[in-house]
Amino acid sequence: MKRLWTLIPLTTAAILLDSFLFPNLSQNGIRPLFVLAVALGAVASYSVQDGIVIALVGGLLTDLFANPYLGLSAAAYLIAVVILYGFVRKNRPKLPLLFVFALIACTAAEALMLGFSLIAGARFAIPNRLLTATLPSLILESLLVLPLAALLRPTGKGTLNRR
Amino acid sequence: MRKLWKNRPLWIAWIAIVLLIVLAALTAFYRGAAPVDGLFRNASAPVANVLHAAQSQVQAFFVRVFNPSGVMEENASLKSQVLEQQQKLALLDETEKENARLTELLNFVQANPNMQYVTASVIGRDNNPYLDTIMLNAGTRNGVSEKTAVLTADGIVGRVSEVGPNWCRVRTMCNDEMRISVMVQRTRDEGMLGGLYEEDGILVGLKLYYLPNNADIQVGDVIRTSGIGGFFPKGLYAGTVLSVNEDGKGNYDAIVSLDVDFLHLENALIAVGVDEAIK
Repeated sequence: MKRLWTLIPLTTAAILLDSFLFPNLSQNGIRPLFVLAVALGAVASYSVQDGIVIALVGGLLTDLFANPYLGLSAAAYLIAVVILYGFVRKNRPKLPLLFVFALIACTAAEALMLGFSLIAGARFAIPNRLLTATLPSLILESLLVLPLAALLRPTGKGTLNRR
Repeated sequence: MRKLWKNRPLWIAWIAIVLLIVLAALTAFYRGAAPVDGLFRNASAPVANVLHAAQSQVQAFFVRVFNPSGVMEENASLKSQVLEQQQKLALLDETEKENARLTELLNFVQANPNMQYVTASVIGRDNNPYLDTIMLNAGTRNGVSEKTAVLTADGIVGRVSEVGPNWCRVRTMCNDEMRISVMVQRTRDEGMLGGLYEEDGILVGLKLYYLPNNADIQVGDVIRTSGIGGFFPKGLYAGTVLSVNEDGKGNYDAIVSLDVDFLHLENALIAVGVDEAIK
């Protein structure tokens, strides 16, 4: 229950930040996806179900408020959740390794969004963006996963939901 | 379902991923999904507006906190004034251009008094190097129906292929499948116009074929619609002959110019009513 009370406001705040605040505040296009970080944080704390729900609901709401393609962010976040779950389902990785796994998952999500946008006809300077904006954003997202995973980790006996 | 959710959450995740990608593809590529997409977005718009307003307040708060001298506020005010002036200038420029376009269309309407038109603006284009279809902001409420001819002063744009209450989609002459019945104005020889003719990947014009044997056709001849088929009124300008080919047996075909600037098309006339006499 306590975990739920942490997750709901955290996800709501992440949706609001991603949809409304960061698009206006981002510097040089660097914009970490908080919803994705929260979803991955939930997965890293051994609740893939929570991660899936956050990715789905958070992604859809972000799409609705701030993206032209409804469902794209949600699909990308879910792919990241599934990939990270693949890494952490058996063993609990140490922080540096968790960071690397989160980075891989975030990269997969970004790749899906980038690829889809290209197919849909988006035109932007990709090589420049990759180094100056996308990579720093990915690193920030992956770093955010670490404290979020610690925050969301269940503490009570009854709430342990390790899969 | 609950058991599946507990034991096999990844199955549900993969199904959701596939469905979401399909949804995203539909909203991106399939215009039929636009009303559904619009429904969701219309429903979320009030919430989004409130949140945008809140975000502006939050942003303004931080600006005030970090810039107590008010210099930033003054700067923002001046910036907004400059932007406003730039917007006004751009609007004037745009109005001037629109005036020229509409005058051109009006001249065309006055020259063809037997037809009734609806003037429509282009509200969407396909993301295609050769624009295949365009969307106009007139529909059944304006009397537009399927297969209605769409024109500009420069020639034929195409034919309405799909129509909604306040929009219609037009299959343009750039569509390789489009065919219209035409005639050579000078000799009244009839033929079929349609299909793109390219040279080195560059669009040159449209093909004119099915001309009668030993047709008298020359470079520079004006091609007009023949009215056969009933969709396009007779006598509309379709293009000018750019080149003529003869196969040695007296069979002729030609390449006809495509004068409509599809890439910069902003307004068009939809021929909603045509006097039977000229059909």
